[in-house]
Amino acid sequence: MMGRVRIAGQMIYRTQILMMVLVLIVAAWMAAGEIYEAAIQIPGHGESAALVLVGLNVLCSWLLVFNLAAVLHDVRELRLPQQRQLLSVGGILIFVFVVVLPCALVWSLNGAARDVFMIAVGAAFGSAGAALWRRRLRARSAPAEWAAVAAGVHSGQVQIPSPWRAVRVALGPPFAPTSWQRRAVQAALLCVMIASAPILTLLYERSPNPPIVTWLLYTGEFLGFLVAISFCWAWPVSRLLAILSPQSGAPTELALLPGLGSATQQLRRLLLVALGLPFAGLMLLLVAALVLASLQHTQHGIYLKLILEFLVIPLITLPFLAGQLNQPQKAGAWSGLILISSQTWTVLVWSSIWNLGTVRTAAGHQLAMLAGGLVLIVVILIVGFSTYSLRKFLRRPHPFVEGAS
Amino acid sequence: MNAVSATDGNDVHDFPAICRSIRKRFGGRTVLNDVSIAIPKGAVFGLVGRNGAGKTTLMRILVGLLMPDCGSAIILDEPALQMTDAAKTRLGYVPQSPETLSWMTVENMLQFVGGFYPRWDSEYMWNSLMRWNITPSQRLSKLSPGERQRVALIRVLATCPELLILDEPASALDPVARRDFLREIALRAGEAGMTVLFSTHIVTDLERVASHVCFLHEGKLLLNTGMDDLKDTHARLSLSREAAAGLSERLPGEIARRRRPDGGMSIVLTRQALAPWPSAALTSGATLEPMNLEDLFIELTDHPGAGWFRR
Repeated sequence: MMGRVRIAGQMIYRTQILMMVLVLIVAAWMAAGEIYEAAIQIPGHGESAALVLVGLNVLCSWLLVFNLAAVLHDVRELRLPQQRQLLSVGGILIFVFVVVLPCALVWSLNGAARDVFMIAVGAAFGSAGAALWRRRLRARSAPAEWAAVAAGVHSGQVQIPSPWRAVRVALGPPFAPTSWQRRAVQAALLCVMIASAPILTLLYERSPNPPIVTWLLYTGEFLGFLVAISFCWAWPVSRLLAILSPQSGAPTELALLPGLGSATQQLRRLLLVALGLPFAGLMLLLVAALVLASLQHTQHGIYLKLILEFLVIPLITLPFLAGQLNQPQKAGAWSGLILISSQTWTVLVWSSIWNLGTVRTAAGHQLAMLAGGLVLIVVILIVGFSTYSLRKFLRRPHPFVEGAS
Repeated sequence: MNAVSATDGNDVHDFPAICRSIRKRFGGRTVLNDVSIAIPKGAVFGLVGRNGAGKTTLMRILVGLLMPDCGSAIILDEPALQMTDAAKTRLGYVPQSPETLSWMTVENMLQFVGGFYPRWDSEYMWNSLMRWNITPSQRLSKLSPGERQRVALIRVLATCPELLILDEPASALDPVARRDFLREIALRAGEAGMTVLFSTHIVTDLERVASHVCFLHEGKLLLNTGMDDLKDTHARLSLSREAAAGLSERLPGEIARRRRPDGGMSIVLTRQALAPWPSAALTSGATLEPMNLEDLFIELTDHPGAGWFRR
């Protein structure tokens, strides 16, 4: 009984917040509309004003959806009648406030169709972000619900896990089995990270914008890729390093669990699972980067640079991985280092500093040769160290058994 | 009783865990030096040693998680480094700090692991979770060290192992949980014939449940005997200053000697069962007293180069 009273009180409080948010949104839009109307009169500043509107709509839709979802959650908890109608009304309310009204406002102010489209896209991003955030909060308050799905087991029924599944579970997220909804959310998040900044760049780069906007667009593009690389490569690889660290009991668990096959099979499974996902993610990013470069009509040399950049990432990570496999150490600091070091080349790749084809002078040639030689030495060292570590690791009787001194 | 000689004349199948002449070095430091132990079937074998004595290393070698530099380990009649699935289902091992699968909830982890063991006892699992007041929906990473240790013990006991190897299993448990756990161990060993090897610092735990005890110090075995024999075969000889003055030679069966601040001497003696104590024990100013396990452990290990007399 007390619980229902508490939820009812909470719902009333949240409804008031929702009302305040609605009032704030209306006021903010009116002000933004005024600015937009004035800005589109000035040549070269219409796009900046449109970007402000998109940003505002992302924020407004986030606030609205987050608060409305909280109220609807309370309604469900209280088991109030006519929930479906309430849900429909809520959905319509969101659609009107974050899509219809802002688009209508921009349209009525003689805004471009492109701006109307971008405002609608902004609403979708904001709403998706709020929904994800709500989901995260709920998962935190009820961890069992999420983890039960993730592990693919439910109380009362014991499944016999396959050896592949055991390795994935031992590695934990993002390798662990999870629901298709969660995978879809992760994929959508990745797409948003990779695509949002490039789409904006493609739409606005040819317009006469102030330099700051162009700079922001390119920075956003770069940061988007940085986050995507950490999501696709650094996160899975750091998971592998973490389970091989001395603090982790996962190797012990895997070594002693029955039914996982021979040592060779276990090693093959571990490496395929642990490296398959990050490599697939990296390839996906490379394809996305090449498509982006093609769409932006950049110079042809960029393709080669991009491929080199994506080769550098695993090449730099390899010695850390091999060293960790051979002699497990604390992994916490390594994961961050891998991400940072794998990105040190990015600036050189994207900028024109590292463009050997344009070097004309003799001194420049010598410098280029020296740089090339240094790079070659580093690569030889990396490959040599990695080979040494891997050979030592492969001499073990079992991948999870520490070798003789 | 020498560990390896324990198997002499007996069937090797009567010893679920045997290690022979194990030697292990880390860097330049010898952690285990020619250690041989044979654990009899159904025994509760307590391994006692100070920090860094090599207990964990010995256990990891025994379960095949660490390769020795020299010597061999046999577990459930198979080489520890090439254990088959059949042997793995009969073996339970709890490391010192169980950190496995910490991203999962207690229930999910136990259900997942249980899937691999044909003799998994779900009823025991649920009863133990309830008895030890552990929320099944709690994520393992959020549990206290004590709770995590309890979960690890539930996890290993629910597999109904024939050989249980526990690395300081009670170090993070509160006194009530520790007593509960020790009772469970004694019950399993007594009723189901489970063999247990456990390491501990808490010597009173050993006295409560262990049938055999083994002292490991600086990588060497100092003592390896049955608990019942211990009181009959070991004693402390206290000599007054006058009696100590006339004693320069090493006594038969002497394993440690310490000079007291009052000038007297304290000597730890051992003998074969029913053999007489040395004659020095019968002189005036000499008192022979039985030793408990803790006293014996301290006498043997709390000075550098402890146990050299024995070698």
